[in-house]
Amino acid sequence: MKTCKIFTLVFAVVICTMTSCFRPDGTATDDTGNKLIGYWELVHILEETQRYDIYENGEAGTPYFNTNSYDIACNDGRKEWCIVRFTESTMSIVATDDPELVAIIDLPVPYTFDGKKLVSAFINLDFSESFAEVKFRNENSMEFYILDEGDIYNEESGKPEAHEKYQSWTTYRRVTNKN
Amino acid sequence: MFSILFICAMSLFNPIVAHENDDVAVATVVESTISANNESNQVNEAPVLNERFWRKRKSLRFGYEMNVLQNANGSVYPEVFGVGFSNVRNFWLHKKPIANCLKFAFDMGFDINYTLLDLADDDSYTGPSGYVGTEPLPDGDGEALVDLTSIGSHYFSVGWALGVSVTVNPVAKLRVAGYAHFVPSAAMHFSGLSANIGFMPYLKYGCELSYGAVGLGAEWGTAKGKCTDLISSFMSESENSVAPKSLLYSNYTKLYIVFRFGR
Repeated sequence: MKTCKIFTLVFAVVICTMTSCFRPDGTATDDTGNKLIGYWELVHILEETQRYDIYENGEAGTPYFNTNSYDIACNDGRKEWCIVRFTESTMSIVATDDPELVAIIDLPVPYTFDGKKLVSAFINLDFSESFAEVKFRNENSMEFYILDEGDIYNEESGKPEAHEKYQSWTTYRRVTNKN
Repeated sequence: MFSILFICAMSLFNPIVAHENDDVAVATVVESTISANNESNQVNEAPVLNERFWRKRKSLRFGYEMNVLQNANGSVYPEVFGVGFSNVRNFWLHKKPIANCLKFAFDMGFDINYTLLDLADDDSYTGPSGYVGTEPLPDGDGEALVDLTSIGSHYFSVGWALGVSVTVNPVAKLRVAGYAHFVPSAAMHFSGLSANIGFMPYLKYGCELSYGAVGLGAEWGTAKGKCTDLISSFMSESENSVAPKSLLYSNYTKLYIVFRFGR
């Protein structure tokens, strides 16, 4: 009986300690002021690609640079124009001129935004951690910065054969034509 | 006179009559034993009932859940409904009830929760919408094999509850119980293009009131976990891509019906 009592006491202490250790914060608080909420139209893209080959001896080849900067408009032939909607917790494509995106129009996808980093299934990078840095120029204009950098490996040898760095700055304008 | 004496003698030495007398004596003893047993049964009924009460150690709980799921920036995913199911077993920490009515237990069992979320809320947007391109749609008018928008948004959590409970048996079969459970859980927040999977350590506490095998209870739970988007990492062309991670908060209130079993 005495052993049982001691066991009970020890067990109660262990459980209390365990639960207090893992006690979660409770609720999250929104101290960022989510300026994303609303409708945004993609209007401009600036992208920069750097790439160089990596030789077998480990030396880097001559770097290759490519920069593109262009405005986006509906049906301009690029199939990149879209209107994106942000609610409090999800983002979705509301309108697009790309026929391949028809299946995901109005599909709400959860996102998280801490005031700087935007994480969503729509942002899917090959090498780096998948997120976009958001900068608000003013109330009605914002820019997404994406950096994707890493080595490309040879499938047979498993050794790096090239290094690639891709950066893009996409500008969105707030759509205000809603009732 | 002689005949009367003969009959008397026969009656004294007749074995049948002697047996009948024996039977009567045995019957009297049995009756007295039965009556004694009945009396002792009445006296022992309370402890037997009490023992049966404490034998009901298994409990099945089916509940309706109001789950508030939040992301890192505090945004709430609107809920349609939630349900929860758990199968918990009490392991009494001591044999005899304290004051003949109170017992402490170690609890263990599995715990499953499901929440249907509604992410597609409408508003009064009147701008361009849908496909506005000039190119013809691909075969099938661009319809995917699975309509992703119809899949909806779902949250599951499956865990193993560990904790302590206290049970009081104030009168008859009435049971008042309170518990605190730590439930390490695997959680998945699935929504069309994303499937966030992560570890959600729940802290759950609740109370229940039951009579016999059926009762009602309320439970509160809270958890915070980091989830990884699996679909994003599968869709990525590079093996070196890092799947995005996001924080998820869950706070819920559950009202449930409980069924108790035991040998």
